[in-house]
Amino acid sequence: MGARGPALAGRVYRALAIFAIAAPIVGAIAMWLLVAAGAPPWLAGAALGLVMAGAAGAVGAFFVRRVARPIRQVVRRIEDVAQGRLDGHFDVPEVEDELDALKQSLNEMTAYLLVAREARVDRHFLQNVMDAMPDALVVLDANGVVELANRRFSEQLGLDAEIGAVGQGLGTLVGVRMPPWYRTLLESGVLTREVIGFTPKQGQPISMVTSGALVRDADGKPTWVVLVARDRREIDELNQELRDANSRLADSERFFQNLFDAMDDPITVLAPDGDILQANRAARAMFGGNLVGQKCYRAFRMRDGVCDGCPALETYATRRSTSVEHRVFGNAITRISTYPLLGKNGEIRAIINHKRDVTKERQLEDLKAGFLAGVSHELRTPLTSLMGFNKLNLRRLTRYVQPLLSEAPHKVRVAFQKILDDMQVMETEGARLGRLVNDVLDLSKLEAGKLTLQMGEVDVASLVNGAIAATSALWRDKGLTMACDLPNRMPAAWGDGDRLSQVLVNLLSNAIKFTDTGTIEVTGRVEGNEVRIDVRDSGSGIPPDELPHVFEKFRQVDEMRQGRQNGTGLGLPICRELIRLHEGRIWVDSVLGEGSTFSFTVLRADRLDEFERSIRERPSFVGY
Amino acid sequence: MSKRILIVDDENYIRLLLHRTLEDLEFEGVSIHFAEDGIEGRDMARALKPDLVFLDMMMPGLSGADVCQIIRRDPMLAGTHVIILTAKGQLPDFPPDAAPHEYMTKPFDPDQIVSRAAAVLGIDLDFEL
Repeated sequence: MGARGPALAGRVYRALAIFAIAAPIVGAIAMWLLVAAGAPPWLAGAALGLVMAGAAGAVGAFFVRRVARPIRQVVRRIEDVAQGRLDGHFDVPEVEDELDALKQSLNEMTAYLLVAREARVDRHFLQNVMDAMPDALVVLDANGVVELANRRFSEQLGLDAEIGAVGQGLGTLVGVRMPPWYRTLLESGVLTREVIGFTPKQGQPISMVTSGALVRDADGKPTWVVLVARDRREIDELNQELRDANSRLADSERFFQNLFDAMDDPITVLAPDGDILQANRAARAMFGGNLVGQKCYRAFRMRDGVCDGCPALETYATRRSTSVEHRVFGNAITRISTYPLLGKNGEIRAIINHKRDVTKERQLEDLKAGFLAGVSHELRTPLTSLMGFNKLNLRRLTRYVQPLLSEAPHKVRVAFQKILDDMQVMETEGARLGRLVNDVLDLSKLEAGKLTLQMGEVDVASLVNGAIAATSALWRDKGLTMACDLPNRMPAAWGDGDRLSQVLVNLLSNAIKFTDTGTIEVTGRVEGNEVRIDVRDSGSGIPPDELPHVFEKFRQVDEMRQGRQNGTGLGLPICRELIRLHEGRIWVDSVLGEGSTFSFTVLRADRLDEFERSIRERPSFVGY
Repeated sequence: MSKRILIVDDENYIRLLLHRTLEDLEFEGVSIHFAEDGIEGRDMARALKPDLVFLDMMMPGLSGADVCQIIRRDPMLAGTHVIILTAKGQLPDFPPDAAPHEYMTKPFDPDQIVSRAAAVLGIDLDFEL
């Protein structure tokens, strides 16, 4: 819009000012020239008039200047106010004229506008805060007329969201203009969980649990009453939910307590300082009474201090589970396993202590091992006689009888040869029975954990060459070729040379057994901390559904029925147990019709330290 | 004095088998003697001072391992060669000064028994095994 008024006044002022300066100068010069030139006096009079006019112009310019500037200021201020810029102020020490009065009025007006704006902002803010509350909130004056109400209150009473309940009295809201509770509230200052029936715009009264407080002014006069109300049904629902959740929690707790108590083994939960936090029924039965709160060493072993080699402390220090066996009370053996219970941040909250009486297991293992040793001896003795005498007879027949038969009738010679052949079968089958006895004994020992390895450095090349030599009769007989691929500098493996040889010979024998033509290939390589050996054949391969079972006991039985023979069905299970004992892995890959590759890994002798560091961890429990 | 072999085994047929296996050596002048358990084996070893002893491991009374130790630690029996016959994997740890000279696993091969015995006794067999 611009400042047209002041601009106009300015132009008038400037024109008047120029005129006021120029006119007297022009007049005076003209007058001097005229007098000097001897001009007629009327002309000089005219020039004097011009000077007089200039003086008048100067006076006019002065007045315009005096009045126009303040008017311009006032106009600018009014424009500011119109645009909301309320800061600014006129200095009016004394009201001298209408302009001063106008300025003063402007000052008062902006001051009022400022207050009004702040009040509006405050109320808006307050309304927002109240609307954000999930509970119904209403502010009444001393007469019970609504001054403020939040959205929730309006909603619950079915009132218009914009206008809400403002201006309505208690008579409308609860049906009584001044109910007793309101009177009490005004007197006592508080209202605590009073159930009040609010009347909605439509429908039945709503029971609301209402609490309230009285606000007084500076003189102590009651001014406002603030009420917070919640639908009683909502509270009931919440209570019900809480009761349900508690009940579910109790059910779950009971379930786990039952589970805990159902365990036959004594299980306790220990604090890091040895305090027993929980104990199941078996633990209470074994150690008597209520264990909770007692020190573990006191309760379990009647000691006054921490036991030597305490597994719980070890678990606490290492954050790992432990398992130790203790010989207690004569021959009884107890295995104590401890597991860390970790908190959400991985800190140890408690330790589970699980005790198990393993006396019977250990006795049974000893018994089984002794039994098997006895049985295998008992089996081997007659087998030794049978095979020995058979072989002896075979030798006697070939050495002493055969030479005498060169002149015998054809029938006799044929019969004699058949005897020799049949005795050869007896020898082969006897040898197989011997292997079976050995394998059963080996596997039983392995499974009972009774077999200890004689660990040492094993040269891989010697191992592979030895196994190839040991099976040479087998693969040469079948016309197979044997290939071997080993890197020049193969690090030594860490293991029991005899046992690793047993594994490799077994894998080679298998490969040969199931391959009719082609090549058996043995490959050695280094893989990280391990040495890996592959035995690949070009045999018939293993059907995919059989693959997961090849390392199971007597899996080969079907093959044997189909005419494949000489196996005990225990070779691969023994290999698996032996490699497992070496902390290695054994597995098979096979493509039907193309062949199979059996692979195993054992540790490198020069990387033992790194293995020690990565010792397998037993489980721990997180989230206690 | 002729060469002597002592066979110590509680199993009747194993003794017989060993006897039959080694019978060829009897033609070479070797005498073969038998003991039926560890105690008899110890006593006969002391009395007989054999050149070679075949010793079974599992026997009642004194085990083969015990008899082996007694023989090996007896200065009078320094010339006695001890072969232990054992099932695979049943060999205990012997003290270094009391270990057998060698051992063979059951079921054993008769030819191997003969050839070992002949070698220990320094006898050339006149037939191919």
